[in-house]
Amino acid sequence: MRVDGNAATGSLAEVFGRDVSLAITTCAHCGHEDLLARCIAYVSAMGTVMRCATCHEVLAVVVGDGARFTLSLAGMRSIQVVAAEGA
Amino acid sequence: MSPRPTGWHAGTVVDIRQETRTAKRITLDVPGWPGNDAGSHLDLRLTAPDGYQASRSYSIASSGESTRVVLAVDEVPDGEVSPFLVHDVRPGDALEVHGPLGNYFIWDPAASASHVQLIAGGSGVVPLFAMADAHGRGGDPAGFRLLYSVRTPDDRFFAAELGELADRDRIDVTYRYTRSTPDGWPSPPGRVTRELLAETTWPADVAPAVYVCGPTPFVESVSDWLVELGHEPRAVRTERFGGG
Ligand SMILES: Cc1cc2nc3c(=O)[nH]c(=O)nc-3n(C[C@H](O)[C@H](O)[C@H](O)COP(=O)(O)OP(=O)(O)OC[C@H]3O[C@@H](n4cnc5c(N)ncnc54)[C@H](O)[C@@H]3O)c2cc1C
Ligand SMILES: [Zn+2]
Repeated sequence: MRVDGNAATGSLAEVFGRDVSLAITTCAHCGHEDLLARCIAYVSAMGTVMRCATCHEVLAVVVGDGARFTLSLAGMRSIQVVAAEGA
Repeated sequence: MSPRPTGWHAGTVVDIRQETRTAKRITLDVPGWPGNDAGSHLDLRLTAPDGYQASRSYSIASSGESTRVVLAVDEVPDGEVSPFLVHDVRPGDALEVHGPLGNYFIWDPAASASHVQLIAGGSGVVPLFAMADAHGRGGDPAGFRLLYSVRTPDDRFFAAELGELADRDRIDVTYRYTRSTPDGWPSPPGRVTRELLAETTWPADVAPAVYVCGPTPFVESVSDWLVELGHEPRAVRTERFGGG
């Protein structure tokens, strides 16, 4: 099922502990810089695959079973988040 | 505005209403819920007695500082989760929810100067209704318009509430019926087209904030047309609900 990166916020919050929909990501394949919420996410029972909105290469993959989550960021050159509360 | 903490919560169903022929409005009380901004969603997780889990995203129709969370769920025939929510959930049942989520697809009255264009297909009106409702309760001067594509008059979500907001001139609502119209409706049933967008929505030169939500193919064609009509791609926010 194809949805927005915004809809992947829940799986990512399992790893980051907070909402990272407004994080700025840089694609390792084409250099496109955008809000994480604006990438394309493919959601299935297996997990979530996030793809670059410009070149469609894989940015990141999250898989998990409710007890443990694995995030691969192989296709992201960087991910920039604002400091957590209290920082 | 400091971000709201997101996490798993145990909610209790406190009210269930028929929303449309195929959808229910489900109100939860979620102790510890940090409130939510208009447009955000949550992930809802069901666990079977054998431990099998299924999780789906649902937009939140309510907003503000409350532990009451309103959802509106349409049945996708043969779906895994939505038929259960529509037919089997009862007041008093417990539901596990993760949220609030999706700070990107929200409308913040305090941060908003521009006019707002909402464009919904089917149940995609849920987060957009939350925005219209927040606007209706606040005093902000934004000019709100909603273009709502829906199969028939009986399939409209939040019809009474939207009618009341329109009567108070807080929003201008245009319905587009795709299967059948009320008697005497000026146009035959049909889909949203680029021409209809040009006729009924805020033009690009007023630089509105645009929110598009609904089935994935609907959202993708509408957002492409909006860019063709001159809207800044960054001013067009989308929330694809899936489906094909
Ligand atoms: C951010 C977000 C917010 C959402 N908010 C709402 C909401 O407020 N109200 C609501 O009713 N739904 C909402 N959805 C859709 C919801 O998450 C589920 O996809 C939907 O309830 C179907 O789940 P299911 O388990 O019943 O169907 P599944 O078992 O997942 O799917 C069964 C079949 O239906 C198709 N299908 C899946 N989803 C849809 C869909 N949305 N429309 C048409 N066909 C579909 C699938 O391709 C599959 O063939 C939202 C989705 C997202 C990503
Ligand atoms: Zn790329």
